[in-house]
Amino acid sequence: MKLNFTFGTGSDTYQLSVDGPELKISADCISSEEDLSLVLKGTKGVVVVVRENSAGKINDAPGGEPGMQMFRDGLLVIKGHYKDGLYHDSPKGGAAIQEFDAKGQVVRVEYYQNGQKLYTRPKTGFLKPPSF
Amino acid sequence: MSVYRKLRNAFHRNSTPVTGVIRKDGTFYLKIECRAGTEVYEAIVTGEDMQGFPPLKNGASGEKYLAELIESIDGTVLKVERRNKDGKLSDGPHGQLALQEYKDGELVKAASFKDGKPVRVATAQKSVETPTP
Repeated sequence: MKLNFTFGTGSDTYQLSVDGPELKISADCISSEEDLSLVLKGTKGVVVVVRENSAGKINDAPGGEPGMQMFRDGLLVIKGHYKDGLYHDSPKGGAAIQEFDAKGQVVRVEYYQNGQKLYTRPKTGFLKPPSF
Repeated sequence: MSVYRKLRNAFHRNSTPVTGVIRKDGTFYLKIECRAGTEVYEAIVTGEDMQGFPPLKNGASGEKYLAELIESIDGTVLKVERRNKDGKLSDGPHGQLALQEYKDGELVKAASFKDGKPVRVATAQKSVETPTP
């Protein structure tokens, strides 16, 4: 099941899609990012959330929600911050790519600027590049 | 084997305390005791058709048992609740939702509660009030 939504107003309008082979939720449940966040906690299997700007490019939401998120059984597995279709570190959400374990701990981060990879960090060590 | 015997056997094999009622028309109400560390809470599953209930695997307990049960009877569950030791609606210790309601197999309501007080509710049934905890 794939569900599509339009959130935001005016120039902040963006498209959001929720897709998953085992997804069975009523679209009427979701009228905001907060609703989505709540509902996803109760979903089974793999669910992918994608946010796109008015140009159809994957992009973070104006509120900082990542351009792409993947959940498994309601738990966030990986998220990617995007700017105009390219990986881009988020001032609100940190590294462009962040992967989590079953306890919600960050296990991998990758830093990008405009699609160009800066570097990767495992869980241990600094989570922010010293040059930032 | 009747559905009643299957259930009895499944519960007997399983160490998870499960109580509840299965009516002859297949509607059911089951309480499953869950534990997380020292925290004990209850998951309550309400549904409309237990006829297709298959045997459960050995050893599952608490949330694992609940997940297995729901998967077994997918599409016939009407409501899943989590209640704390005082019987009040409350999210599970790992953020599991306190209340989920389904219609025709689709999630139509998801609600987060803490000790009986609603934190956030997302519902497709705008006119339906959250049940009193």
